[in-house]
Amino acid sequence: MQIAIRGEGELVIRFIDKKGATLMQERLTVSGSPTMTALRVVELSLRTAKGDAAIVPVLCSQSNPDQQVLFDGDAPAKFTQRRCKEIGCAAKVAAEASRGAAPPPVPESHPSLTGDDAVIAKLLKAVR
Amino acid sequence: MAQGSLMLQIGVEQTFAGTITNLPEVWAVALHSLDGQRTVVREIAGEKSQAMWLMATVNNYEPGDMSISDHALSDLWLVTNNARKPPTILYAPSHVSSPPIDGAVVALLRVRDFGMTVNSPGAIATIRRVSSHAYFDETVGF
Repeated sequence: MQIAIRGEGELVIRFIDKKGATLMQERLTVSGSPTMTALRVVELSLRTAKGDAAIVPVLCSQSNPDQQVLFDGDAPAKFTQRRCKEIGCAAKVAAEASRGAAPPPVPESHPSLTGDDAVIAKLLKAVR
Repeated sequence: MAQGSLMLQIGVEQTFAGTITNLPEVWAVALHSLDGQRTVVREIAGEKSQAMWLMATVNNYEPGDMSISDHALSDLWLVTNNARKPPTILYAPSHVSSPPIDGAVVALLRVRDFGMTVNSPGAIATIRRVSSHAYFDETVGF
């Protein structure tokens, strides 16, 4: 799948399985100019120690609301909904994923890096 | 027109919830349109941070040793409108100015990192960030 980006900023994409569990998270950061573009190619499957898993990308956050993001040429919510249907997600999982809701990854073994999105958001709110 | 001092940066941070047997490759590019004037690249660099643990999902199994690069692979492509002229490809790390490159209309910064696979019951626990940046100037030239 191609993730096409126009404009600067950081976005967080979580890749969930059909049960709605986040198996992988990617944080993509680009900067340079408001008109810059970027492209990231990812596989929609993951080989885990428990077996192969089909995954669904969920665009969970963007630091810049003006940044445009497309998944294979479609709006992320639309692509997520279609991919959820393809891999057999439950309706509730598909609905939440389509509105950008997916749980943060919880590393079940070492190593880890705790997400600080909430802390950063609070700091920025305080200084603006 | 010439755009003066320019920058491109791209970074990919991956976090995995559980152990995996295949660590996917990283491939990402960032692009900026230029005005076809004279480009001098001041710096290209790539960065990588990774923590990794090779383990086994069963007892009494030695998954072996593993080595992976400390560095991401970064390069900058300067592309002209002339399809018969090959792109100029500069790789990182470079911290001195390049010779002037004329006529580029696109700057493409690419960052890559290796994928790897282990045989079950071996498994990988990892988190990594790879990134790349380039600083360059476009001036009126030739």
